[in-house]
Amino acid sequence: MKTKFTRILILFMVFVVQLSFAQQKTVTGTVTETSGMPLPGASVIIKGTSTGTSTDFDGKFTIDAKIGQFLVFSYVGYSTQEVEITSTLLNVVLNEDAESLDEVVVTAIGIKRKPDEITTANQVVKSEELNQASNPDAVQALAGKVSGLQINTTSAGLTPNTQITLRGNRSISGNNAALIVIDNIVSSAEVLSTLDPNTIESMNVIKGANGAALYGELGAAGVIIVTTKKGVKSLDKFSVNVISSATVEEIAYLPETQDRFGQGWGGNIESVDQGSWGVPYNGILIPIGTPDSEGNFRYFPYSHIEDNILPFFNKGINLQNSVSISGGNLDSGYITLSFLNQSLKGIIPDSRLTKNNFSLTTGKKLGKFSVQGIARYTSQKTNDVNSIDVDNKNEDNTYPGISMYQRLMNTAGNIPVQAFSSGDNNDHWTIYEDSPYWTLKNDRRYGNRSILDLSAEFMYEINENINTVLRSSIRSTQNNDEINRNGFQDTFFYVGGDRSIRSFYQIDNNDERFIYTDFLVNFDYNLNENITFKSNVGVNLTDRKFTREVNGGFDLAIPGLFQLSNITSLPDYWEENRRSRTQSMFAQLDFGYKDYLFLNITGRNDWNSVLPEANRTFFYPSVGVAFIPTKAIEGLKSDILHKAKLSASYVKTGNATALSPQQVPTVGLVDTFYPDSGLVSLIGQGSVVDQNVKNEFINSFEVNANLEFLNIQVPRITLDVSASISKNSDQILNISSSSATGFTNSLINVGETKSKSLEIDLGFTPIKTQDLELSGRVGFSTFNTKVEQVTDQSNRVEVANLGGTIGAYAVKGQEFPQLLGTAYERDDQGRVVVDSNGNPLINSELQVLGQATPDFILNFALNLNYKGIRLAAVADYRTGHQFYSGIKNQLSGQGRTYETTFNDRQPFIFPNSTVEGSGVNNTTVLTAAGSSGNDQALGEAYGYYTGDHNTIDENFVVDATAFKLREVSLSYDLPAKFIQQLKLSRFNIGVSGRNLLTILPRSNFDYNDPEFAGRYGLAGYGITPPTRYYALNVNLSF
Amino acid sequence: MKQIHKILAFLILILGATSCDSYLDVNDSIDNPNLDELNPNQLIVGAQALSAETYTNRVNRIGNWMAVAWSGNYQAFNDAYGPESRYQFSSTFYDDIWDDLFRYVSNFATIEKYEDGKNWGNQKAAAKILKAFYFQYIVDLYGNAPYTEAFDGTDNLFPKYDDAQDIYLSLIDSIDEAVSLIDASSESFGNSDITFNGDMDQWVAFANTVKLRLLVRLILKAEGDATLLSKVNSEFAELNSATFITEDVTINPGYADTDDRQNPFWEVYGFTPAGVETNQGRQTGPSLFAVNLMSGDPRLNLIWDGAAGTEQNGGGSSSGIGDGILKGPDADLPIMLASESYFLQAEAIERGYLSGNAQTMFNMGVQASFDTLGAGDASAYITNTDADANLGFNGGDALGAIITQKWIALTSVSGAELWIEYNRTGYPANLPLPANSTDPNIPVRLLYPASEYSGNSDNVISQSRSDAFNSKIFWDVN
Repeated sequence: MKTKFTRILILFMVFVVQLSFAQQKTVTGTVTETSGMPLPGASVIIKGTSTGTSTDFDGKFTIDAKIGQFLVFSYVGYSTQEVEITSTLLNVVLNEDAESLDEVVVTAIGIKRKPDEITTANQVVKSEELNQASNPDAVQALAGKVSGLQINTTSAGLTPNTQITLRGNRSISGNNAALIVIDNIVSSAEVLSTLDPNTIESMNVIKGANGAALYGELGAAGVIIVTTKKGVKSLDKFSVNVISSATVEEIAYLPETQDRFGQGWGGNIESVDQGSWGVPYNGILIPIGTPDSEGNFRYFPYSHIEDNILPFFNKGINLQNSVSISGGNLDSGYITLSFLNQSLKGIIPDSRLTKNNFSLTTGKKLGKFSVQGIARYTSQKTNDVNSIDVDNKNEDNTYPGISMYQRLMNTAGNIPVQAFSSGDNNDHWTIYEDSPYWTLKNDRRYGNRSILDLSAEFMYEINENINTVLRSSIRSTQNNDEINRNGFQDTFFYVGGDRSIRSFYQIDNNDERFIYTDFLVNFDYNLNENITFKSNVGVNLTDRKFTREVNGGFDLAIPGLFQLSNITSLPDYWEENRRSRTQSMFAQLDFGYKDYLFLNITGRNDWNSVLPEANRTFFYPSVGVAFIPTKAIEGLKSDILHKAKLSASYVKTGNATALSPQQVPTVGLVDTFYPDSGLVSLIGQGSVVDQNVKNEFINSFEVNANLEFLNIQVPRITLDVSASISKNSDQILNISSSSATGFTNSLINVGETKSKSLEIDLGFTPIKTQDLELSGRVGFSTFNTKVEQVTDQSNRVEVANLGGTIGAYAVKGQEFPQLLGTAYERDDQGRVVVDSNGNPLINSELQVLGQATPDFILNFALNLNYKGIRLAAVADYRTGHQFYSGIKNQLSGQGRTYETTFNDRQPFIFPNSTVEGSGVNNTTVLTAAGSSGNDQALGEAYGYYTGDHNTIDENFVVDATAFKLREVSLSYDLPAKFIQQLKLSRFNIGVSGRNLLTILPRSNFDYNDPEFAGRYGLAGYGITPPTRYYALNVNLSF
Repeated sequence: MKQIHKILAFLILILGATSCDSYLDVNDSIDNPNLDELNPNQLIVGAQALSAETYTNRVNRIGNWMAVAWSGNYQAFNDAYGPESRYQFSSTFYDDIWDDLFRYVSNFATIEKYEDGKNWGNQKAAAKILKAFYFQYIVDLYGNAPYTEAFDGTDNLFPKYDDAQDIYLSLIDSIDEAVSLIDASSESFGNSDITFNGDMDQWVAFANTVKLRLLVRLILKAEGDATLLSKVNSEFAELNSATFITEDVTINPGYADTDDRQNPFWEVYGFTPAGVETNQGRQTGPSLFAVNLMSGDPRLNLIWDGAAGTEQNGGGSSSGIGDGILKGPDADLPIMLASESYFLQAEAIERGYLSGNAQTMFNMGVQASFDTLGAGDASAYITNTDADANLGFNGGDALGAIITQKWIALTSVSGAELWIEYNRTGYPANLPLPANSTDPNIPVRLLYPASEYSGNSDNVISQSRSDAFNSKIFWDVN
């Protein structure tokens, strides 16, 4: 069908070319401010088109246009002017105007709008604010800067993972991640992370479902529209921009551990154990671990070493350099070429990342045609320790392979880890776990990623009112990952179990290709002198193809030769193919009455291949209105109330993101692994999809108010309020079904949620003089999604888990998501019920232990400018939510938490408890009767904490409140007179810090950064602890 | 404005052209065939293998523990079998037994329903027999359960619960149906019958033995219920001339000493392909009760690798699993032993429901157990223990001896039988509770799983931990 589409398109082009007849003229002129100074870089656009240019250093411009067309002149800080072309010479004077400080905003499908015209809540982050702390990752750089936007960095390490959520989790099972659009092409956070942040001009964050009405299902959870810089500068010379930054990364904090009991087991010093269940510290020299290579034991005092695992880590260093060269304009042809090189050494020894990014943006206008193209290529190589232990030695799962960081954290407090750094797994402080130093050397993951992104935009002006745009893009993402693990022969397994490790090799190649095509027709009319009419009508096609092949196996014949043919075990191989396509037709109508009343209507129909054939198509409309009372009502505008804007919108959006490609028609099969006997040994898989499944719908209603007060040069106080309610119905839920259906899970349309959100942003500029400006912003945001229905006959569904009994659930009538897990049995007075041995009983049903969404988030931003010196800070505070700490659970089992030292590890009366059946407060029965039959008190404490205590999830749900000082930056722009001598146009030097300060509640003991728990409040182990960064950067242009 | 009409008309034309469905017809999987595209021969291998895996690793395990055949090696693992020792019964305790048995048994239901115009009578018979075999354990461990409305996928997401006794009677009927489906003109199994290799006479004997087990379980209940008794009597009458299994029923889909292909019991309790002993193997040992009961029994050093037992939830070191059980990574996996067949017949005869000689059957049962374990001739042992109050047929309590000998014979193979039969009959006598236990008795059942509370909450019967000790299964009138 594609070929048919293309043919028709060509036909269409031919057809529209013939419609054009008006005469093109070259119009030149100068743009100046009221004092007569030329304005370089002012934008000149032919009204109703996206054709434009900008003025050169002398304020001069040249543009091809027709007599009778209007030119729109705009410049930051000046009021926009429209001038009709009456001759080929046009000189324009722009007036300074605080009101137009907001530039034109790029909104959905590339439509540019003035802020007044926008009927939904949005917030724009400009390059300067984005890059103030030189974060190499544009996604993370956005954190804390937009109210209602949560950027959760869920891991540390070379390539941290991030989750982007706007106004919380709205769908139980569908997509809750905001859509990323880069230069009008639907993209992904992954791609955004690889972009050079300095090439980004602005990010427009559309918060509700509202702005997404034109992006279809992908935009249902909000949209971030990224616009990169286009090299529209002077005609006669290239401008060059060079940015260099150096960043040092270090561990921000480690979990606080108890400092009273050292290495040991069951209440005895045990010098090869991994736990901290020994006797109290006594300072006596004791041998630790296995003998060194000469057969000698190493002696260390039996006493606590603060942060004893810190020497394992390095300081990370990130060097990033970028150069961009740009010149030309659209008429004469423009080009921007940029190159970025990043070289990162991580905090884990021997972990490295190198990234190169090339991008080329170019365009030219030829008569009524203009063409623009973007080509980006990113190649990223990583060389890292393999974080997940996939070794098969523990198939029975009682001693699961654990991550390197987990093993480090287990280490008892009296062990100086650096004394065991030889990298030999037989030279280690415990015989129960593998040496992290061995893992560093012998278990490696190599990643190679390349992303090629090509896009082109063709525009044709049919006449002054109508133009057409064809945009097409292809993005190809290739990942080639390898795991290389050497084998190990254990020679010390007297009692500890054999730690031998089999050598392993795996190649994982995957390839995703995404094609995105928009065809738009844009109309722009002045219906009469008061009413403007704009419309955009278009079609959109997407095609996504994913292939993956994994090959690997154990037991290399020649050690160290990582080759598939060198594998001697049965090879493990599989492949995966996924394909999905969508097509859409959409229309947008905009009416403007004078400059104060705006109406926006959209409609979109989607056809989605992942749905069953009968349910493939769905339509959804939106309507929005914006009103500017201060312009409409004479006399309302004053120095006190400078501006008021009110807007409201209703949006319906449909989506089927909870469905994967190929999921509906397949009641798939599972290989039961006996193909050798020549048998087909497949069975039905555990999950089933309702064959009549249909899309979800979200209905949302939003009201916004934007107010500006006290206009003294600039509005000194701004207040933006946005409130929304939405209902998400027919949610496609993967419910845990009754196993008696034959399936453990089924995907059906059932869930219904209602969401509310409120964002209040208060901006203030208390000081504004020639040399000094102080401004700031406080944002308050809250969002709440309540589960109205799960299924007809069940009240809850699990949406995520960490593998144990703890999980995140949607529970009917409660806020989503809830943490459910095992809990103490309590009586009706809330007392913990213990048995007659003093051991607490576990409630036989899972209990609600917390909620994963904060009650509210406060964002703070502060800017101080003094004679070219700029100080900026961004912070946020989240509270009211909880998370499950996998680290606390692990540390508790190893005797590392403070809790395990309660009552000096002597038997105790469980606080606020009652003995089963007694009905009275327990004042006599002591807890900590161990399961081991150990009669020592310390041994019993060991049994208690590793037994009952560790199986009760309630003990590991922690307050997720956090205050984070995310960025502080100080930068200085050298005065013009100096840089002119250096033949530069800009020289900026800055220092910054990221993640400088995190304040956590006492109950957290720094176990996990709550942000690592992600949107479902479940935090396991990452590969590294949280880190902080210090950066120095230099930015020069000539 | 004329152009607008043209353009709009044109856009609609484009969309009309592209929206023809072929552009969107990309949703068929190229990686995976569909469940309903598999014929019974292609599905029955995996169904047999995975059901048996759950049976040997989970059903067997919980039974061995609850019937105090197994204990922990507390020297190797301080908290060996912690949740089991402390009877931490909850909706997540061994809930995979319910979830996995239902899931794997559903494949037998799929085979029963398969229609492509060919005659798959023998495959459907085998599927019905195995479905009855495994479903009995769902009832024996949980009581009431979905049966008539089960296995319907999204057509019935909330299946109602059937009465446990009614399910039992339906299972008996379905075995009769299975036998009647067996047909010489049925499609051949090819090599997909990994249980009897297409020998339909053996399937009939197996069907009869499963039916015998269902009926024996009902006897005590029926003796207090005249209607049930007449049903049980008439079914027993049909079995008087029936054949029962005389060899161990085993499966082997091609077990081998490589990753993911080992005998599943060996995989968990034996050694990895690299020869490393698994931690489950290391933490498992005989109970003190078991080693005392089997003192002088030549089978002790085959079921276990020594005579060191521990008290459950106690301390100390124990022996490990012996090579009469761990026969090798590629060994056949037993799901029903011949000895069980003989002990069931012995009990039915002793109680007067089948004709024959109970002691002969008892002796054959003990000998079959010796054969399974490789312990040689049992006659000396039978003579020596003949008058033993617990172990001998002539020790004064023949029924007790039958169940107690079955307890020994099925240890580590059909562990659930040990636990279920203890609850039904009270034998072996004097099974001890774990050390420091404050619970009133050995648990009588498993609790309904978390998945039912999440997925079928209107139908599931609400339970708390105490139900594990006092909500008896319907046949438990002891």
